[in-house]
Formats: sequence, C-alpha cells, structure tokens
Amino acid sequence: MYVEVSNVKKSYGEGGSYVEVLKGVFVGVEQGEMCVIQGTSGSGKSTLLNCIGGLDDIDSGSCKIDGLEIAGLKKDALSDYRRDTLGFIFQFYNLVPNLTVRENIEVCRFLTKNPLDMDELLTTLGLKEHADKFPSQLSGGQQQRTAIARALIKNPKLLLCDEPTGALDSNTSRDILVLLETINKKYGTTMLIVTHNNSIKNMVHRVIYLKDGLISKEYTNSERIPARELEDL
Amino acid sequence: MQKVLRKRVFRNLKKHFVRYFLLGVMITMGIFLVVTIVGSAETLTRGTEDIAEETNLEDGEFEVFTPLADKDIDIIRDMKIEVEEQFFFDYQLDDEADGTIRIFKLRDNINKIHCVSGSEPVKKNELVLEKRYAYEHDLKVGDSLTFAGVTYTISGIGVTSDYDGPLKEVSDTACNSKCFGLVFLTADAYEDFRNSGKAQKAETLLYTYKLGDGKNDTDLKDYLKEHELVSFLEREDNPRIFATKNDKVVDIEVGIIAGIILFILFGYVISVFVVHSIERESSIIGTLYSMGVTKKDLLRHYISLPIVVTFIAGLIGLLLAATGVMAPMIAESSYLYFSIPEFEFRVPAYLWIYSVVCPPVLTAIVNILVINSKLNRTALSLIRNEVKQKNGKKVKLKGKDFVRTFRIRQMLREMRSTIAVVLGMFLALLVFMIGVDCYILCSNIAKDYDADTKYEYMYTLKYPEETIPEDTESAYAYTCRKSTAGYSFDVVILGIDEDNKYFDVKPGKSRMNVVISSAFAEKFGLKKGEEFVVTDEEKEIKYAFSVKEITPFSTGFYIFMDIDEMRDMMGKSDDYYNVLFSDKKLDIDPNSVYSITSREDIVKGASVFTELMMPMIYVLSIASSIIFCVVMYLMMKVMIDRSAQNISLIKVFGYRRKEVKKLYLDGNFYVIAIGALIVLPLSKFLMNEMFPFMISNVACGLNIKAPVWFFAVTYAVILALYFVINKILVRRLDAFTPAEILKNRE
Repeated sequence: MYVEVSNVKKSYGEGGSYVEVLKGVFVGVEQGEMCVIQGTSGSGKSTLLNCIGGLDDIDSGSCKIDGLEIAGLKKDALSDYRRDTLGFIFQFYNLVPNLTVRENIEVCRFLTKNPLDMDELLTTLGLKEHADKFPSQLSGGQQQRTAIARALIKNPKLLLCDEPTGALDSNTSRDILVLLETINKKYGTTMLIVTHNNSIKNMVHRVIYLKDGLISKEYTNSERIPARELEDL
Repeated sequence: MQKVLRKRVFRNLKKHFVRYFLLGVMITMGIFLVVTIVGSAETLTRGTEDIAEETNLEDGEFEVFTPLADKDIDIIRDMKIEVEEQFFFDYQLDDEADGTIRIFKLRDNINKIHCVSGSEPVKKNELVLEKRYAYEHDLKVGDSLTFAGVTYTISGIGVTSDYDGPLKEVSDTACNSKCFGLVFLTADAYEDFRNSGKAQKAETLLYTYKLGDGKNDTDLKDYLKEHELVSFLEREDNPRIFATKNDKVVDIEVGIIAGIILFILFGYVISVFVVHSIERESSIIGTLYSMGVTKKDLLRHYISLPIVVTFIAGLIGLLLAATGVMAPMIAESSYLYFSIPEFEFRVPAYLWIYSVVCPPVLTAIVNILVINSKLNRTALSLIRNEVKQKNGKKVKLKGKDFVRTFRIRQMLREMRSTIAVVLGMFLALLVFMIGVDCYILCSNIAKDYDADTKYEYMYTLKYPEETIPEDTESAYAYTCRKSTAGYSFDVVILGIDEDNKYFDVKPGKSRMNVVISSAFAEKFGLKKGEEFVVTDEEKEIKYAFSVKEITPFSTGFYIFMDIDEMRDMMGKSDDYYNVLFSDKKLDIDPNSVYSITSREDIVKGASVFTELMMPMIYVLSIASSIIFCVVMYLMMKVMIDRSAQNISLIKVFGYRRKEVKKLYLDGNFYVIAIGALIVLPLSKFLMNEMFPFMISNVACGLNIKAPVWFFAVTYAVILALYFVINKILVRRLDAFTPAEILKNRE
C-alpha cells in the first residue's frame, strides 16, 4: 500500500470541549489510485486528510506514506516530507495575489530538483494563455487550475485535495475533475480527494465513507465513469 | 524560490509605495541628520586634535606670583619637562563695547599659533588677532587695532589650542568673544608694551609645560610647591583646552544612540506592516507550508523588502550627508563659539558602516523578533487564520454603549499599531525634550544671571589694597575643584560679611555648615544637610562641608562662608580680602588687579547660549514633529487598511461616513489624548534625568524646570497634529466602497 493508515485516533479540546474526531481509522490506498473520502460535516474527513498531509499530528496509530512513518516526525522532517512527496489543493485557491500565474507556480517549482516542465503543465492545465495574468484577472476555475498547477509542478507522488471543487460551478468543477483524471493518468499521481460532491465517487478507483470518526464503508469501483461524463456536479 | 518572490517584493514596494517612501524618507533623514551631526562633531574633534598636535599643545600650565629664576627653569628642564614663559596682560579697550584683549608675545614652541589667514607678525607694529574676536569685531588682515596709544596692523588671524574655548577666566561658564580676545605681538613689541606703563593690570606670570617621557604633572607640581604658586592647571582640567572636543562628545553619543532608537522605532513600524501582510496572507502562507515551503524561506521573503528599503534609504542619507550640504549649518554654532579653524567636513569610516548596516540590521532584528511568532504557527492554523482577533477576544467588556465597546475592541485588535503610535509619540517627545531642555536651560541662565548678579564690577585682586575703597564690598575668594561625571570644575569658596549688599546670604559663624549656590547644588546634586568635599589642588588639601542652605544664585559654583571663619580656616589675617564688589568702576592700582568681571560681561555671556542653541532647538523640534506625524499617519492608516473588509461591510449595512469615521478613526483620539497625558510628563522626566549627563562638561546649573503652560501648549500641539492626520485619513475611509466586500479576496 502506498498510503497506510492504521488505527489513527485524533481528538481536539479538553474537558467540556473535548471532541474525538478520528476514533481509530484504517485506510489503505495503492500507488496511482484516485481515492475519494466522503462523509457528512464533522465526520473527520478533512482531519484525516490533514493527518496524512502532516499538517496535523495524530494522537495514536500509524500513518505510513510510501513506507515512511510520519507520526512523530519532527517539524523539519515533516517539512521535507511535504516538500518531497506532497501536493495540496484547497477549496480556496490561496494564490499569491501579486504574482502572475506562472510565478505562483514557480514558487513551488524550486522545492524540487526534478520539477515538471512548466510549459507542458501550463498547456495541460489550459493556462498557457493566462500565464502572465494575476489571480484577480482569472475566473474561479482558472484560479483553481493555477493552484493545481502549483501543487503539481514539483511532481508530487501524492496529491491531497480538500474540496477542490467546493467553490466552483458545475461546468468548472467538471473541468477540474477532468484535469485531475488526466494528471492521474499522465503522471501516475496518487490522489486523495475530500469532497461533499456525491458524483465524484464514480470517477475514482476507491471510495471511503467516514461517519463519526470511523470508516463506515469502503469499496473500489470496478467500472469508473470518465470525469467528463459525470452528472449533477 | 526567492527569485520568484523577489518579483513580488518589487510589486509590494510599488503597491505600498507611499508607505515605504515615507519610511525611507524618515530613515534617509535620520541617517542624514545623524551622519551630519556626528560627522561634524567628529570633524571638529579630529580637526582640533590635529591642530593640537601641529601647534604642540601644552600638557599644563601654572601661574606664579614672581617669575621663576633661570636656575629653576634649568632644573625643570633637567627634569625632562619643557617649560615656556607665556606671560600676558589683560587690557580693557577704550571703547567698553570692544571688551578686553589678552596680550601675549609670540610663542616659541608650546601652544604655537595656527594662522587661519595672514601670517605671524614680523614688525613691532603688527599683531596676530584671535579668530573669534576678529570675527565679532569684523576685523581682517590688514585692518588696524589701537590700544595703549599704539596702532597695530593685523598681520594674521589665528587660533591657539590653549584657547580652543576662549574663556577669559577658567571659571567662566561661557565664552564671549564680543568681550574677550587674544592678541599676539612680537617679543619686542610685547616688551615695549610692558615698559610703556600703559598696562591696566599686573602682568600674569603664566608658564606652560610639556612633559618628557615618563614624567607626570605631579613631578613638576612637587617641585613648584616651594614657589609662590597662584594656580596649577593640568591639560585635562583646563576648560579652554579641547573645549570643542569635550562639547562634541555629547553630540556623538546622543547622535549615535538617537539614531539607533529611531531605527528600532522604524523597524517596529515596518514590522506592523509586515505582520499586517502576514495576517492577510495567512492562508496563502499555510498553503505554501503545506507544500513544504519552510518558515526560513518566508521569513527571508518578508524581511527582504524592509531590509532593501532601509539599506537604500540609509545609503542615500549617507551619500547626501557626505556631500556636507548641511554640515556648515550644524558646525556653524561651534565655529561661532570656539576659537578653531574651519575644517573640511569628513565622514569617518565607522559612520559609513553605521549608516548602511544599522538601519537594515536593526530592522531585520526587530522584524524577525516580531514576525517570527507569526510565522511559527502550523500550516493548518495559518490556513484557517485561527488567531485573528486574539487580543480582542480575551477581554470581556461590560456596558451597552455600542460605539464605546466597538472602539475598545478595535483598539485591542490593533494593539500593535496602538503601541507603535504611543511609542513613536514617546520617542518623538524625547527628541523634542532635548531641544526643550536646551532652550529652558539657556533662557533660564540668561534670566537668572541677570537677576542674580547684583554688582556691576567684581575685581579679583592679586594684592589687596591697604584700605578698602569706598562704596565697595570686600570678600575673600578661594578656588577649589570638584568633579562630577568625569569632568572637574572650579568651585569658589567666597567669604563674605553678613551685610554684603550684593548677596542675599547669611552664612552664619560656622566653618562646616555653609550656604551653597543653587547652580552648584543642581550640578552636583547636593541637597540641604548633605556633606560634600572640594579639593584645593595646589595645596592638595580637601575641605569638607555640610549644606546649611541653598541660595538661589545661578552665575557660578559658589560656597558662601562667613569671611572671618574663612580667613581663620585659610590662615589669613583678620582683615584679608582679595575680591571687591562695586557698583562702579574703581580707580585702583592695575598691578594689584588679577581680573575684572563686569555684570555686562556676565549677562552678555549668558545670552550667547540661547543664540548658539537656537538652530539645534529648531532642528530637534521640527524633526520630532515629523517623526510623530509620520508614525501616527502610517500606523493609523494600517489600522484602517486592516479593517477594509469590515468598513465595507458596515457601509453595506447603511452606516454613514460620519458613523464609520466615529467607529474606525475617532477612537484613536483617546489613544493620543491618554497616551500624550502619560508620555509627555514621562519624556520630560526622563530627559531631565538624562540631560545632566549630556551637558556634564558645561559649568552651569541645571534649572530645567518647565512652566505648566509649556505642557499645556505641547499637549495642544499633539492634539492639533492628530486632528490634521485624522482629517487626511478620512479620505482613506472613503476609498472603501461597499463593493469591496463583494470582491474576491484574491
């Protein structure tokens, strides 16, 4: 397994405000798989993603990525792990407002010795003609594509997406999902996608449902629907 | 990555150009002033040191009642101590306004004359005139000067290092070159004057000396003990020597320290901007962290613009200052006070380093300290922007007045900017108080000297008259020394009769309990009932006294005793005296007069201080007002900018312009009003504590009490400046439209 999460527990707060968000989660994702994590609000899906991304530490259990145990890693080691392995995409694009599309992508290009080809990536993501525009000159979809390009430029093995289409309309969401699908195929990038959107589950290899901090259902799609054919996005 | 982010640095600079331009101008101005003031002080210090070297400045001097015999001189020379006769006469010129000239002959080897124009006299009817006196009386090379019935042509205008500070008496508080100057005649012309019978007073038998290797002043002093020594003054204790250098020590120290304080303040102001940016970009930073960008990378990025701006600003300030454009103005007061040649303005190497290193390094340190914790948060906490409004949340506010509660919340939220405004006001006021204390001191000196000097003439006698002249008050004066803060000053023990009409002092019949002048008490921090010691350096005796009373008397450091007690203490006869005070000029044998001090000289001398200090007082007042306004403007602007979204939102709710202003701008009035109430007296108090050290080399009292109206006026000016800034910033509030809230943040 490329991602191996075993009996992970995570809680927040103390006393009256104590909440156990993850109560012993087991997840396994193969390399190159696209995996969707679904669940209701407060089910722990974002927390799980953050724990896998090393943004949040776990209370107990094990979280191995490509054989590397990230639980208990020190700050610098976690930073190296994120630098070498991860790409992150959030619901809000968090682009640097006074850098152009190309420059926003370049910020992360320097984090790796073997970045993807900038022009090829810009073309793949349909950003070539927008490369010299600032974020304020782009639509929401174009901004999200820039954020994806920024995450991909350093050629991460694992792409973590937290509600990547949450702020987008249906057509733009579809475009983004097509893009993620293309990237997965083209670069073999393992993807974990947290989403509320029920349609997305049909395009991925693996689907995980979280409920009250535990995995309530998990299955693999024997047949996947291409992203461009998804409905009700 | 830094390469990409660098592009952003320049875009940020462009976007916030006004902000960084103002700060840059402030730093340029700060460096310009520091380098000009400190550079001028260093130029004068090093220049006078060079002149002292060139003219072979004395190691000390002594005065005797009778000339040393040749054998004595031979013995001293055998002790490897070079000694040179530098006798002189003081001569009051016919026109009283021309004051007194001190007549020397040309020097052989010690304290040689440095001519700033013309040359030393070669003929009997030629002389060199001291530079400051020549300037005050508009005399130039080729002009003539007549005294004692002889007209001399001025062959040169010059200076000597032993009269760097051209004080008539070493106990004088201030130099007054309108009333006192030096002339140097050829040896023959001096001899002719001596024999002419035109001298008004006895010749002063002064010798100067240079110590040979391994010799010290004590060796000579021990030898001279057997002679009738009038005074013995080592170079370090002579206020005329290196007067400029001693005066400039404070300029250098204050300039350097003030610069550092200023750069820390501006560093802090910049850090407020940076923190504002970090908070605004919190989620972006978090996202970058999540991708593996490190804190070090971002720290470098965020401090790079402040470092570049402060470095360039410092460099421009330095280059501007190095042109010496303002140096003549800064040095002018010294050239108009001290008797020194004009030196070419030079910036010492350490100031070059200071100017280009201090602003960026201090800014970097302050910013790293301030923003480090901001960047120290986890990626997740940054993405969620969790700690926003932390300050405000902690405080529970009671009461139902919405506007008041809102303003307090706003102030708490903007605590960092509020601190910067109050800190800026405090530092600006500290700078202002340097000028204020200078002004108050100078004006009090002028006023007090006039009020406290009740006699018209004071004659210090070499040999007392057999009978005390009519309508005079006799007294017995004896000069001792006392040190404070590394400087030694003359202190006069004055024995007076109880009914002396010129002094409202009742010393009482006590040798121990004495009345001291207020100037003496202020300078040495003495209080009633305290004991103190003064030293007779000639006889190497210490006298201990107790302060019975402090009398308001500002014109010098005086210890008042009953004259009979003093005579007894000093072993003098019952009718001994050596000072006469009078309302009119006395007709007494000039040979018996050691010095004459007129009330006019004293009062004129006191007013010189104010004239000298006025340019500096103006510079400090203007500089402090600018610092205050810029810091207040920038900080209030940043407070508004941080609330841009909220301002737009409440405009959407339907708040009117006046109401928005009330909520977001007018609350600052209380910060300024209450802040000023605290920092105004605090800055005056602190400066009062520091000021004595700044003028530790000046022989005067420390009457720096400010009247209440001064505080009221300063407070009113602070509020007026606030209202001006407030007015300017209202326009900024108007810039936020309700549409702002609808815009995508990115």
